[in-house]
Amino acid sequence: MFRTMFDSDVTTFSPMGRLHQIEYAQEAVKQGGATLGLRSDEHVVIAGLLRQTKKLSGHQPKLFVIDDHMAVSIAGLTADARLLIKYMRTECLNNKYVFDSPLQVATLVADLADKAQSHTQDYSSRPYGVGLLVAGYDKSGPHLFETSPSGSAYDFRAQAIGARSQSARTYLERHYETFADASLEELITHALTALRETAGDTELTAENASIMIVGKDTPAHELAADDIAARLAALGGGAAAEDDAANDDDEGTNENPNA
Amino acid sequence: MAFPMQRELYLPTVPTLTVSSQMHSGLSGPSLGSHGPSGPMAARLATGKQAPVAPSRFSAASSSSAAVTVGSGPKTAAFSPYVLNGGTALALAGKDFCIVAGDTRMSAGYEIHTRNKPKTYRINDKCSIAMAGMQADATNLIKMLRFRIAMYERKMGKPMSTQSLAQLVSTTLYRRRFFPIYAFVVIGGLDEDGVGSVYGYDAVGSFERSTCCVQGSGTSLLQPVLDNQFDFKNHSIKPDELTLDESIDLVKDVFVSAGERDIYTGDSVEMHIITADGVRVETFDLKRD
Amino acid sequence: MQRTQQPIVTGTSVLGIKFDGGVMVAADTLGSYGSLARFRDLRRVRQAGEYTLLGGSGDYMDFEAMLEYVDELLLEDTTLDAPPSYTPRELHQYLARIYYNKRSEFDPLWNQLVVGGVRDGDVFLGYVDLQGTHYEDETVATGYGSYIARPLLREAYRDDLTEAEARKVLEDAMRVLFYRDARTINRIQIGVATEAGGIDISEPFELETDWTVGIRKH
Repeated sequence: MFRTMFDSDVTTFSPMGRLHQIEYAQEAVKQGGATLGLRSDEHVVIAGLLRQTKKLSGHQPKLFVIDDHMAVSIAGLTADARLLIKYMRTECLNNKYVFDSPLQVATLVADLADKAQSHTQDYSSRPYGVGLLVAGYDKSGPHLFETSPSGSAYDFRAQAIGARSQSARTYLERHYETFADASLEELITHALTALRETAGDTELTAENASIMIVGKDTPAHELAADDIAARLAALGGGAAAEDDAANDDDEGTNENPNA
Repeated sequence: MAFPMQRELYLPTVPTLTVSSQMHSGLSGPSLGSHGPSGPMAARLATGKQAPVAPSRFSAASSSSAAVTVGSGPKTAAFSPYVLNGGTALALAGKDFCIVAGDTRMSAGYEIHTRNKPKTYRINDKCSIAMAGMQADATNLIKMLRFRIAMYERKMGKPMSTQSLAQLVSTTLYRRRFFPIYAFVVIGGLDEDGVGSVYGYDAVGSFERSTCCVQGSGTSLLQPVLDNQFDFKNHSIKPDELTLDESIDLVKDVFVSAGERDIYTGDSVEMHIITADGVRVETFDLKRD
Repeated sequence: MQRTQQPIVTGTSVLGIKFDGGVMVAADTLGSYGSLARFRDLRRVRQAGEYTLLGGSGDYMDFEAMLEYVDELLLEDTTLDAPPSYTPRELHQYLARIYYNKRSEFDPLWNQLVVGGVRDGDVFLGYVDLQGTHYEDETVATGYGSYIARPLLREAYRDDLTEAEARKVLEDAMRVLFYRDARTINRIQIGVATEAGGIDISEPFELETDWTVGIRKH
């Protein structure tokens, strides 16, 4: 439907200087279920809105532990993400093997970005159709990175990607100045509130919301469903409270296989 | 080069070297198959001029086998890849507990390298590993195991059972059948029924489950004593099984005795006491002479 | 491919000791060719990165090759927001992996290394050798030093040893080695690593010795 003369392979620039295939790959990220992350000076919290691909299937996971000090959430093609996750886990274990220490988050993100970039310059390959939020804590403190199919990677205080993430970003932008000193509890509350913005008509529940935490003296782990349910109950209110935020993309359909 | 000669070459005690070049290039690093270190890290590890991609050892042997004989030059010394660092490790299994212990002395010949290098490694809430033999091989082995265990746990979403670990250690050791890992492993833990279990190995992966196993330089001193005092072997009337506290005291006693007679055992002992509550670590001092 | 099957130009003992707030490493500057005192100015106490001291005995070219591997690693260490570079503890582990892998290829780097440094309050002193054997301790010695000097270092070591005391301990031990080890020279370097001062490796200097017959104590 968008077809142009310049999008049949990833290595051809359009006269406007664009690489259409990469933009399409980034579109796959936008179509993926929303995920967001935010950090204080001690912790990083990532949250994702899980999708049910079929009525009879369970919710597809989109948050994954990489190592004790690192976790990721994904938006886009789950199958592509699995490959990257395995790569990241292996690199972390390699670092442990060679240096007996956890891999620096920024180092791995740089390697990951290089890996994505190499798929944007090769005629016969396709870019990864997935964006990652990488949360980690290392000797230089807490980190939150976003990587994208284009091979770029950015360092964030808070960020949201995926379907309807603009509303979550609006919420995060409004509150980010308070995040640095926020307690872990406050971070989780912010994460759930922002995530609710992306849920639209769907009610946020312990089944479709997923949260992971990593930080100082806190190994990466998923928040138990009971904890999420309790916090959602404490938040009160069903659907998104602030609906003024602009939605910049299409709604993710339930049949979408992307997480 | 014929196979029997190669095998002889890899025996730990080989005194001199006749090395065919390129023969060993495939044996670098952790041989972990598709899960092994790869990518940038592996490239960093391969410090040499050639990539650590290996032909099979047998095909390599036929390719270029110009023998290099050692013995000339300003200072004559033969390289041995093996060194014995001494020390004693053991594990005892009771009805609902397990004790894994090792001394912390690390020696080479008459030199004590360090007095504080534990031989015990905690794997998870249900088991620990202890190793004696060559420290470099043992450390590398535990690193390879930790790599595989972490991959297993991420993939399966549960800790590795003691029984699975026992099999993993065996296959890992056997992979290096023709260039053995000079480490003598003993695993202690609780099995899936919560019963204490001990697995003992030789350098190339043969293993058996038992209730009491000693490895390392104190083996010949301690194993018969424990057979008698813990397993009550050759007793016509079997006393009651030892309780956890009695077993801990027995471990202390036998390590003190080994320290008296074996120059490679001493300094202190690190002991992992494994029960349904998890792993508790205790240490106690031995004589430093 | 030709491999190191015996060392050629060799350096003798390297000594290391921790003190309150830092580590100190000493070695002489002789490169021996068998029993020939061949080179008189080989620097065997070196710096790797900003935080780590490396002292090496054994084959001098292998030592230099190892320094190149480490420099290569540190050069690679440029990333998004430039995280702090490798700690002495990490480099020690890295070297242990390098030396173990080389020994497993039957292509050893024929050295015994002393690795020392301070990072984020972590005072580290460790040892690596050609078989991949490695450990950390309060005192470390290689070569003949492990028999002759290590007991002196162990005896002298205290948690609260000052830098000046540590220097005296190392100089005395190096002097004893000069008296007894035939592969030494009376010209040494001492490298110091502290949190505040980083790495400071002295120029070679001569130790005072006393060869008067009959009064030699060591």
